[in-house]
Amino acid sequence: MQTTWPGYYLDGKTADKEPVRVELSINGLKLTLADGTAIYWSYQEIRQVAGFYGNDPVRFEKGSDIPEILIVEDHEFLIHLNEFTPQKAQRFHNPARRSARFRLTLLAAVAVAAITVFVYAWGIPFAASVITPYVPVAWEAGLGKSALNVLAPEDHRCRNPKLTAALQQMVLRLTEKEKIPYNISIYVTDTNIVNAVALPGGSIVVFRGLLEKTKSPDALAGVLAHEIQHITRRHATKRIIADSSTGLILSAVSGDVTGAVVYGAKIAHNLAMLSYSRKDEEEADREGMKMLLSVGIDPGGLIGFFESLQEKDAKNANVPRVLKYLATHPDTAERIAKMKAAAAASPRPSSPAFPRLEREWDRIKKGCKGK
Amino acid sequence: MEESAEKATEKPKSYYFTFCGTGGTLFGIQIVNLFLILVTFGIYYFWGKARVRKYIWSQIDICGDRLSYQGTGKETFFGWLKAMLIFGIPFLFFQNAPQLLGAPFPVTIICIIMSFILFLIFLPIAMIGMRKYRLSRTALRGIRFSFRGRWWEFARIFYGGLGLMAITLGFYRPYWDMRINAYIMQKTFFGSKRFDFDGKGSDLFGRYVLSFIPVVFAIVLTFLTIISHIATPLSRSTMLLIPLLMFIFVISFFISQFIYGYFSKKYTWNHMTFDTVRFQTTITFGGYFWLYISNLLLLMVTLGFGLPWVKVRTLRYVMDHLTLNGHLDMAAIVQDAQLSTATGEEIGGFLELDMDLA
Repeated sequence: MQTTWPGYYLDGKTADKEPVRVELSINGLKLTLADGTAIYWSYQEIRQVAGFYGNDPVRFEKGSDIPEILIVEDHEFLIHLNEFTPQKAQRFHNPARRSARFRLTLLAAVAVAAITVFVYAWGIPFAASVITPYVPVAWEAGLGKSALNVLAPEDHRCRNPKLTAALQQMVLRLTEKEKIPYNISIYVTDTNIVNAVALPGGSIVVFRGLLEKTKSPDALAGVLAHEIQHITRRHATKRIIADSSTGLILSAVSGDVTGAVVYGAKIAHNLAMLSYSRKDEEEADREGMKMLLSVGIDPGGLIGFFESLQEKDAKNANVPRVLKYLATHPDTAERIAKMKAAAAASPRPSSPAFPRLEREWDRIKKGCKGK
Repeated sequence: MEESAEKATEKPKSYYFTFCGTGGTLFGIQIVNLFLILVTFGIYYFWGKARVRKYIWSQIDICGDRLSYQGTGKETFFGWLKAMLIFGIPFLFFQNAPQLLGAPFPVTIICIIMSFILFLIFLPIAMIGMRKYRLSRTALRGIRFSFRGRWWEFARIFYGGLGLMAITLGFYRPYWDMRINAYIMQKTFFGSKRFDFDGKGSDLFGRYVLSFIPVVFAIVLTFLTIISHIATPLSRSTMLLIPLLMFIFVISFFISQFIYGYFSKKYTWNHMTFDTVRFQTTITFGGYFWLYISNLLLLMVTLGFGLPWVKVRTLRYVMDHLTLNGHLDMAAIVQDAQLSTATGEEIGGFLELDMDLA
């Protein structure tokens, strides 16, 4: 076993590098400078700062702020040091154990993949559902307001008085039996899209395309009942928290903690881009049906509306089953079947819920075009 | 006396730089960091960052001596907490509170202005703070580097230059860049000795103008396209030309920035001095271009996982082409370490600033 090694000593005061002879001893290293001066470093006061990879020179430091330095270029030095005094050399790297380090790195890679999948699939949705109930309604309203300006800009909103009155009547009817902490406001926007969006805090944006597609006020009330469920069950807020957490994970993965904080804060701006999970959509369908039936609105209108949408779905009939499952909205046929089952299980009202609106519906629903 | 006369007659020497690290090792370090970041809910990020820097710094060999990084995760963690307190929280508040609380429009505007003012104040603080912290934790042969500039001095050069850039429609850029380089270099020390920079914006101006040839080409192309279609009614194929021209314009802008980046980098290295030695780089346009393109391809093919190899390739290319020429008396360099906290470093992190070694 080799017990003496050539090295370099740096005193931390100048950049001058002095050749030194390093001698291994039981309790420390003896450094002999070219002029014969001997310095003794005990193992306890030395720390290794380099020489962990490849053939890197081994570097030991002694002292705290501006340390003295010992450099041994041959990394075999560490192997011999570990053999010479295994107990005391435990605090230093042993190149003989590098294969174990490689295995641990591989294990870390597998663990990273597993943790990421677990956190994304279960951890984040769970955390979001726990945190969401504690978000103040005022915050939700603020968030919803900023998204409202994106989805329904002031100059695109329909302000037809008859239409506004009809929508107010529907909201009053839908919420008459359930006390909800939100002030529900409906905004119709002059955009030819068959969709409606619920925003946190109580706003619902109905696009003209959807309004014109409904055959009766009962059908629109059905859509509104579905959207009200998204609001009362705080699906959008839950989604924001989940997305912020996803941003946090992504930033952690890319190694940027600050970015995660910024991402979390910015997500509010992207509210308009959010989509609900399949589970949330199913819950809104189910609870929306219950809401309709509880206030005596015939779900037949809503079912009819979905049946008309089904025609559009027929084009996508060749979509593989896996992709259908991955879609956020449940399959339309499946939704219709579930609604029909729920409707059949309860007594259905014999007359339309909004008879006056029913008569004028064709005119009212066209009250948005051209504002 | 005799010794210094002897040194003066000594032939100038070349000191070579080498980067000895490997992409595989850096990747391994980052994987382990990732694991520890996840299990510590992000806290380990600061320690992981220090580990990566320790590795990269320790792989830079300057004529047989390795650089060392002596910063710690604890320092940057506390620096981050302080940065969040004095900058991050107020900045995020002004940026997001109006939306969250549904504030009226004038309040929203005031908050946006306030966040912009905060940004303007803290940008030079972060740029200087990052340099101060990183250099104060970097050592060669046990001697620490240091940066002794002041943020308000830098802010004067930075914002003054920005104003002149606006007035001159960007033509001030090489002068601005060289003024910044000169300030930074003249405030950078290795132990007791100072770096210097003798570059001038006027030397680089011609190459800066030349680098805009691709943009001029794109403008001419756009102009000719408009002229040739002006008499004909808008058709579908004409409409398709608009995004194509925009794409060409963006690409040409990036190419011109790349060309200027190359000239500016090479000129900067070649006009840097330290004590009695001068830096010299032998990078070539072809080599730099290939490095850039191949790195881009590597990142695309590996979906970003090739980043450690990109870093290593870049450092290797730059270091392999860099030398120090002259005679350097290392024994005459004495320790003169300066104190610095990591707050500016972490404000820089918040603003996504970086300070590359290459």
